[in-house]
Amino acid sequence: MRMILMAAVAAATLSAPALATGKMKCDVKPEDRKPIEELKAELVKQGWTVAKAKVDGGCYEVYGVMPETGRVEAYFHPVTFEKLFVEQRGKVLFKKG
Amino acid sequence: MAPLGLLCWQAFSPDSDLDAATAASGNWAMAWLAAAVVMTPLAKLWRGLARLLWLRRAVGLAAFGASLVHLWLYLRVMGDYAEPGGTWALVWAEAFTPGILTGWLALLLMLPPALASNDAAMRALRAAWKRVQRLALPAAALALLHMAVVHDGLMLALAVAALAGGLQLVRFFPATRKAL
Repeated sequence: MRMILMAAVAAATLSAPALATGKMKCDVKPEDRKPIEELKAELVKQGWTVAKAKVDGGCYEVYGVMPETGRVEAYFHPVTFEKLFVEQRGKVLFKKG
Repeated sequence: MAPLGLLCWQAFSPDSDLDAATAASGNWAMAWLAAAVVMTPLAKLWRGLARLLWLRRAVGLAAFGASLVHLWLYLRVMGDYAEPGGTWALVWAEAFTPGILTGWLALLLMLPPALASNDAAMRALRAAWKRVQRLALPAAALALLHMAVVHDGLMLALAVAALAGGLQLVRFFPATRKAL
């Protein structure tokens, strides 16, 4: 039983990073994306602390501290840098309608 | 505890992914906690397993130990996110989001059973000892909620909940209730 549980946990732990989370989807060809460094710089200018930024579901996903809010996970459009989704520890703070 | 040792070692290496280590330590804590709370029902189903119940204390304490490592890694991650000196403000800012609050409460509920996991406490608490140990059940439920909500862990939490939660029903089987 414990072995099954652990195998399940281990499998999920190992496979999780490889999967898109499906929280947001951006239909943009990879070559059309603006550099992620530009988004990071823009956010820093707005007062963010950016810990990690990567591609998820074709969008840019950023982990960091949003001013006045705290530690968040946020999604941005990879061309317009429009904010699409903000979540604080599973609590959705903003979702583009 | 070997995997936790490995995680601690990783956490001290300068280019480690602390977020991933935090998640992994949480998964270990959940695995141990789930194992601790399914041992009694499993022993009811298969009498042969009752001989293994002496391990339950070690398994429960491993869950608590893993949870403390998880907490330590979480605080380190938050320290990395925060401005210098601002770690606690950042921790406080999210302490009451459902994803984090459930984690704090689960750890709090694990504290009394962990402290009472020794022979002296067992003698001192007598009948109340079992009630104290049963706090592991709400702790496991809260830990599962924490896992489901905090960051993309819903499917894994559901899987553990189905396995461990289903087995809890065995505790209520009247025919075997007095046996253990």
